[in-house]
Amino acid sequence: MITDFPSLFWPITIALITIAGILGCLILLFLTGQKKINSKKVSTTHVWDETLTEKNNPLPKWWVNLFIITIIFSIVYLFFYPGLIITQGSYKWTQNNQYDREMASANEKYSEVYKKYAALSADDYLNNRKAVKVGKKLFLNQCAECHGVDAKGSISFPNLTDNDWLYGGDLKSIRETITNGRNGMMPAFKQSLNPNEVTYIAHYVNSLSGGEHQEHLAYLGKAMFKQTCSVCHSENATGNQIIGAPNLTDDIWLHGKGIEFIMSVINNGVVNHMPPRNTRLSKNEIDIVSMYVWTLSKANQ
Amino acid sequence: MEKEIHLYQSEQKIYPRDVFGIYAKFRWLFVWITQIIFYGTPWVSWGGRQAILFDIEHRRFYLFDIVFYPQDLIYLTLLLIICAISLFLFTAIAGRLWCGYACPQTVYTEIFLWIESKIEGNFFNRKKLDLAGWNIKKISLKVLKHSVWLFFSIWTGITFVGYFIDINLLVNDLQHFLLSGWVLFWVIFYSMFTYMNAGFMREQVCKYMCPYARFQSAMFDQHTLIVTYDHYRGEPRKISQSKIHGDCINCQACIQVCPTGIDIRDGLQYECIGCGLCVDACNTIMEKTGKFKNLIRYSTDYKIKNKIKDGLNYQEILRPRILIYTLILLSLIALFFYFLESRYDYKYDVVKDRKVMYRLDENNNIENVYRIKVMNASNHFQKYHLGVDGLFNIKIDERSYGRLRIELDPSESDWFVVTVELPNGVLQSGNYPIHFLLKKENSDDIVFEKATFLVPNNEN
Repeated sequence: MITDFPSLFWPITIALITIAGILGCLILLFLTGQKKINSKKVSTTHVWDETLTEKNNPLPKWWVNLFIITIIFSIVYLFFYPGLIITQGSYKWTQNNQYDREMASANEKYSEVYKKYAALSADDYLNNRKAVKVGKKLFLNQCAECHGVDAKGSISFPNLTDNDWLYGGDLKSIRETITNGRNGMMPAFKQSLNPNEVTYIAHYVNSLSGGEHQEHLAYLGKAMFKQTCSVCHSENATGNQIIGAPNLTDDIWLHGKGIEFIMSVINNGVVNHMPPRNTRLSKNEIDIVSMYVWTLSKANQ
Repeated sequence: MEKEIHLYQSEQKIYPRDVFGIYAKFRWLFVWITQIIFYGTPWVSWGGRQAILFDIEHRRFYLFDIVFYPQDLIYLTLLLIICAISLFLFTAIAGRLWCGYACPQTVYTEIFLWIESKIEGNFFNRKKLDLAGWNIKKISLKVLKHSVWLFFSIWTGITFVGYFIDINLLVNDLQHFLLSGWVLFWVIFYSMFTYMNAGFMREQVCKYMCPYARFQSAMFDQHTLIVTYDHYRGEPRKISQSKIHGDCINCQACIQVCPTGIDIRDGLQYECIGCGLCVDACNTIMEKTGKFKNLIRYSTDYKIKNKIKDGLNYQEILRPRILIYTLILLSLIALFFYFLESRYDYKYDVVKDRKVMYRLDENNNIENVYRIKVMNASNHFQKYHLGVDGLFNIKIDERSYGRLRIELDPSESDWFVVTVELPNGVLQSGNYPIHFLLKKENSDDIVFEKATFLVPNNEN
């Protein structure tokens, strides 16, 4: 496209060379077509290997006609396509609109498949090998980049194969998570808690899942936890799926483990983000991939 | 005769005269054999589908029981190399057998010429008709001829496309005028190609387009069988009423029958496709004039020059070039069948996940993740079982294995994700070679694939 060039110099040069090339071929064909040679002197006087002489046999006329056809083809081509760059071509072809056309036809083709599988109930889905395959493909393309190809996640990216869910593991919640994304936010308490209080709370939190801690510090931390943290993480620290506050009583640590690490999270807070997928996936695709994610933990029960 | 000629010239149309004789019969035999194979093959069905189908759209080549996939390119490559070497071998021994008897260009030209002669008459009448002015008779003959040609061409186009698309569907669609898009394009393309090449281009294809004709000289030597004119016997040829002359009576029969319009008495020329029609024509004349046959015959340059009697000459046939070609050909064929025999009807690739290098699970196991693409190349639904080996205590994570039901329909392929685990603290950090084993259910077939297991620094 002409807009892809910083100045008009190259488009015009390319157009001139192209047109000159086509015209040059025509002129060459015309001039050589006029020329005559003596039929006796058909040898070109080129001799190799002592006796091999090159003869000047006339070229068949049909070959010349093929040449003319290619020239006509190039003119027709330049009329339809933006080969000269300075013209758009009557076909208005661009890479982008060809891509869009192909995507549209692919979407049309596959939307039928998605529609069929999206209509399945979750239990039917689980037992439909083809449906699981489609879900797996979508997952590998859209989700595996963060959650891992085996869906077991990594640091800061939740494991989807266990039964620990930040926002709920029922089909409806999973679908909501994928559709609109999630924004997890643990506020920083550096300003409101003094360093001792942070230490106490960290020891208490680590004690909940049986991690290393000092009993008396944890005991002190328990009261402060009730006061400060239970608002989100609940009274008994099992979390709150409505706002995505994690359960602190299991030994599953999304961002890192150990007292040192818990202290830094309390001090500085942590923000986590699951991007919405409704911009990339159709509703049917989201339904399928939701069921696939749902089956991941189901298979381990 | 001196005259001015242009650099570009329209070619003179050739009107070959009808020939009767052993090589003409031989030629027709090959026309029948090649055409029965060509037109018949797509209609052969095998185990519920077309026996030979090159399904480009779905990237599957069906050859009877075997299904070839893009990964099987090696077989196709070998097959084509075998074909090429066979061509070299036959050419070195017997010259342009392919050109004279089996090449589609030759065969279709022959068929089209036959149609032409049935409608327009013999070579003389055909030429007369072309030179005559347009009248009702000429128009009707030409229309008839081109209609028959076109009908035959379209049938050829459909058959050809039938090698790439289920021919039953193709013909069904055609009957109901449902053909469209690329299928229709290719049917028309190949029809027109047949029509143009066999109807109009004919020997021009051999003379100017075919690369095979041009690299012949690299495979020819003086012991190669060619159509030759015995000039010791024939010359001096008879000119007007001369009393003393050789066996050649200068009747032009050999020139009149030649489908490429050359004079074989000028010696070996690249235009000669080795069809032997001039041999037949000359022998008919020799018989009539009461002379010995085979003034023009299949012989070798060496034999003619040294006036050696014709017939099988083992020293000539068993020359180094032939032996080397044969040796290469036989070893390639052996290799091909060895590959084919050791081919499993399933295959898989292992790709280590690039996102998660390694991971520690809650039971202090090191985990590595692999993506495995399994392909069922057989003709039936199949289950497979995956195993891993190569390190002490290495195993597939039970939980990921629970989701790893590897079951595939015929020709289906799919990705499977598997987590492999190893107790932490046993091995020093580094890359360790491991291998996967994929076993076909109800079979002893096991295919191994290599992979790498990464053990991290064991400081924490």
